[in-house]
Amino acid sequence: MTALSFEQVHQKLSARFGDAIGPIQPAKKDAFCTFAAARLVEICRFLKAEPDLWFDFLEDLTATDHPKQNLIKVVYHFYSYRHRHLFIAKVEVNRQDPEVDTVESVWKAANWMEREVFDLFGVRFKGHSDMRRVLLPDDWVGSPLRKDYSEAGGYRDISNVRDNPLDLYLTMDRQLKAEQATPEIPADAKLAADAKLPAAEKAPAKSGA
Amino acid sequence: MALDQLVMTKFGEGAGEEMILNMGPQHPSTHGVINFVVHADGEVMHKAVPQVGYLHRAIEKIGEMVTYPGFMPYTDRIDYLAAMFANEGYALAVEKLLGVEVPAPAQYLRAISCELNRIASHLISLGSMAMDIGAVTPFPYALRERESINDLLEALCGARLTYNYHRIGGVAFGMADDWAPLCRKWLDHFLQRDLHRAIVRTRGDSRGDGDRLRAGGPQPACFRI
Repeated sequence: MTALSFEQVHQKLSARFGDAIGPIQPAKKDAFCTFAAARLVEICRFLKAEPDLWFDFLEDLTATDHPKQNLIKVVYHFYSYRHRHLFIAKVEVNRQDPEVDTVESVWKAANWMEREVFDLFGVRFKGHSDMRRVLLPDDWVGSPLRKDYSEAGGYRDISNVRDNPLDLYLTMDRQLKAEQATPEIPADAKLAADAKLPAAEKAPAKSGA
Repeated sequence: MALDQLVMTKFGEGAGEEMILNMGPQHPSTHGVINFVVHADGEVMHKAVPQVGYLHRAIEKIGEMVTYPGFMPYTDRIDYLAAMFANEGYALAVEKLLGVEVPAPAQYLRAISCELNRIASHLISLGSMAMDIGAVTPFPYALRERESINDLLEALCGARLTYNYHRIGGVAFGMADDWAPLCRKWLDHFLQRDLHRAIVRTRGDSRGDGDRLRAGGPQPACFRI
């Protein structure tokens, strides 16, 4: 059980796969590197099977959307319970027609996580055994976590806008105050007053009361 | 009469055929968060297709819409039994991005509040696990101790469940002068009670099959810490 540093794992991968492994990117804080999409499954198999690496745990699989670069980056977090080390990799795919190979055959856990990425980012995973939405309903339109997603204004006649509850409260408050301000008119006198008014003016007075 | 003719669900036309049932999300054991489409033949379940979207609150999308400090209350809802840790995790992540260092007093308060919350969360876990295997007594005892922690955390940050206490770069409030003695007093009381040992003992005594937990969940050696 020897934990390898990020650089050591990267070195091993580069020695084996050459150009398919991108350089270590000192992102803002956590280092990562890119994998060539075409060789993803092969690299993942190696990551899991190689005794020194032994990444037996696919910790997380998610994605980020980059509209300006026209890219969706699928992010993989690997962890090894045997050696207690971790590795982060990204696979870049075209935003218009995003498709990546599934790593379900390597880690079974990828099944649902890939479904989630499919659900929320619209990335298809080639060879996946059950490519359905996992969180949203099957007939949902769009990929909500893409930066350019706009809400469709409801789902199946269920609106996603509502009146401000404060407005309702204020209206009720105003009505109550108006009622309290007007002195109570005896029922007979009110009837007599209503009879004198034309029909058009009666209606709003009634709804107000 | 043969036994399979006595099973209630097999009768009339299509006896022995698969039945498709919806279990949840209103089923008591799923309490609103999950639905299974169950393919059953009598008492035997052949297949269960889970639908998990019921608990999805689109918290990641909300995160895109609110400010960084404004997201803190949402993290409370990730785990309502240990909300402090979600606070802490989010605060740590943003601090890492900003390159902010948290002052020492705030770090102490974070650690103390998190550890208290951890004890409270574990009490629920132990108590309800004891109840699940048939011992009802430990659960109210565990809840009683947890109440004291809730009181302490309420005195610290004003909330008993969703604390919203940690902040990016620190915590929301310092502790009052008399808070530390109060916390120590409770700790003395709690350590005397030795509650976890009592729960473990009860587990063995109530059913006489302590093995029920001991034998569960085999793991490869490398998983063990």
